[in-house]
Amino acid sequence: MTEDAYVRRFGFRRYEGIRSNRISRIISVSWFNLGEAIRRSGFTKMLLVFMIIGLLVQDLLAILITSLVPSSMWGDITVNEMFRATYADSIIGMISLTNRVSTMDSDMAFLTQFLTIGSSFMFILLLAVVSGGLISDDRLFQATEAYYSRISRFEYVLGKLFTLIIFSMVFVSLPAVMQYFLLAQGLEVNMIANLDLLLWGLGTTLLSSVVLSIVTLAFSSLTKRRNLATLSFFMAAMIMSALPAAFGLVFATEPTTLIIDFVGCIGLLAAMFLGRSSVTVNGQTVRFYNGLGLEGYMVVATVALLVFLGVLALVLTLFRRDS
Amino acid sequence: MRVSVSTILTVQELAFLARLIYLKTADAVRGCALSTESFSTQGFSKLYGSTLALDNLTVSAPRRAVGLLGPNGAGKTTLIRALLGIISHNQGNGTVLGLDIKDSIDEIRDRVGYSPEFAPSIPSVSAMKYVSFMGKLSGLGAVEAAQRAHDTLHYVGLGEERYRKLREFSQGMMQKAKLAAALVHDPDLVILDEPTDGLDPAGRSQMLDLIERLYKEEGKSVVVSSHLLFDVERVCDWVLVLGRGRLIMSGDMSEMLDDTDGVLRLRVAGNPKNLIEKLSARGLEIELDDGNIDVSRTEGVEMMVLEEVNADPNVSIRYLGRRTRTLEDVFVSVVEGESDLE
Repeated sequence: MTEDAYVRRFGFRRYEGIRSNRISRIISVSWFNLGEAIRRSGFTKMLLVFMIIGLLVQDLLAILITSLVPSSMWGDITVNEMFRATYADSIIGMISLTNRVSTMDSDMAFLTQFLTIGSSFMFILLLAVVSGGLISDDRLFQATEAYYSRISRFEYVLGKLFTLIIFSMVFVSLPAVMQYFLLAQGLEVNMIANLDLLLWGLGTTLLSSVVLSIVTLAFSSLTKRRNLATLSFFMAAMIMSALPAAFGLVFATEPTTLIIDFVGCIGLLAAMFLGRSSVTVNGQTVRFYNGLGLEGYMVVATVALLVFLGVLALVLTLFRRDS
Repeated sequence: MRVSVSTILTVQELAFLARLIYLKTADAVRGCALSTESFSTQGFSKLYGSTLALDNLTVSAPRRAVGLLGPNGAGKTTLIRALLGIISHNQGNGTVLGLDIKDSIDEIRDRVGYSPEFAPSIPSVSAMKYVSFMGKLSGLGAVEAAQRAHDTLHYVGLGEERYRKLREFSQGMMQKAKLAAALVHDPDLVILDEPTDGLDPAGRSQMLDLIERLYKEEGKSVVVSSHLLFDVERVCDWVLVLGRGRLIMSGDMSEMLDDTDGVLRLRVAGNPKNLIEKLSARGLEIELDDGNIDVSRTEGVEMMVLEEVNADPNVSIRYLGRRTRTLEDVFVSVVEGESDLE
């Protein structure tokens, strides 16, 4: 058989099916990019393994701490209140990086400080690694032209954003749900009665996923180098998160500087959604509504500004008229 | 003998016919099947900052193999990108396959296959995965996209290499992969921007064969944007020439290549020296062009030439007919007439 005859065997078939809708195409972009972002890097896979182990350890720690600490140390709080506080701290710990945010009083916060170690750091690092090349690689290899000739720019950005949201949800929202059931089971509290806490946990992790995805995607859209995007986002998050603690040591005032910790502010906002008027940050009490220091509206403004800057960067880089 | 319909058509055939009628009706409603134009623009302008890339361009291309010609910076790629909604234009209207680019850009994208000038790729994936993904972006289901990716990669001659990563592809293979990606969703119109760019002579010939086959055997409308005149001359039968964002010339390729000066071209085997002298002696204007004898057309010139050839034992006739020009001749004459084009 000649090469020509071989080629001709695969002639054209007319496509007579119905084409999928726009949402399916956005989901195609998300799944494809998610798979590729994880598949192509051994480092990402290794981080994922560490992240999963870290989450399991965190779940076990939460149960062990609350089970093993003698009830005399709890003071006058009930098991149910302990469950709610531990769960809330654990969820906030997943998304608040270096500053230890606790919904408990300062003298009790030490109980849950262990929960915040590791997982949020790993989450931010993974998010930075996965998101780094999402847009920057497309710009470098001019794949945006192939996308734009088939889907709109808005669908392209949504697809990329969903890639990160799906990823984030798998690594914070899913563990949040698992932890709820494990902790409730371990402490033998009524799951149905505390369902609002589960919804809060889901809402908080979803908010964190969406906000941080927009920001990381913005970093990726600003450059054609994936490593630069990854490193700059991770360094920005880490430095901004570490600075308030450094300022606090020097000035020893109420940590107003926490507003520059843009990742931690999502945790503070989550605590506000839970109805807390004060939280313990790094062992120091922060009141949201006392008219002094870090106020609630400042936390809201920081998160809103973060979203605004992320969207602005995406618009300027991807929606420019002639780009 | 009377035969009822049910005895001729099975249920499956009836279902197939019903589906065919539905699809044709849907096509007709959308206006695509009825349109005889690949694309058209009216007063189309595009500014890059203060640079006018398309200048009030009004153009129409039929659903044939259309060559889009012009020097660098003429606006060819800008026109294509604007028609596909990749960039927005500043003023004017445009249609692709009869669909308005403002109202129906999503449908246009589904019905057009576009192979850009450069090689857009996702280097870490295989050609199979890339083409299949492009199919999904154009609305194919996962299974259908994978099947069609196999088919189109075989069709363009990358059957054996389809599981190799794109980063390992040569420029020629990449051009074919781009073509496969442009074809995977079964477009009605295929737009190829510099499809032979960077190819060696063999690769170039293969690519032109593929484009020719797409048009002549698969019935696809094709637009080939190129500055390589030979490529366009070989595969296209309609030409649009752009210069500085304006339409310089458009028309049927065969008419364009016909010499309107009415010169008769004669090619002979043997020594034509005596023949040329005798033709000159009969008052005919003779011009030699690379072994061809061009004779100015006058009343009864064909008979005079035939008589002289038959009378000359040193020559035998190989060709006698109208002189045709190459696309390069046409292009050069147009560009010479428009001194500001380059």
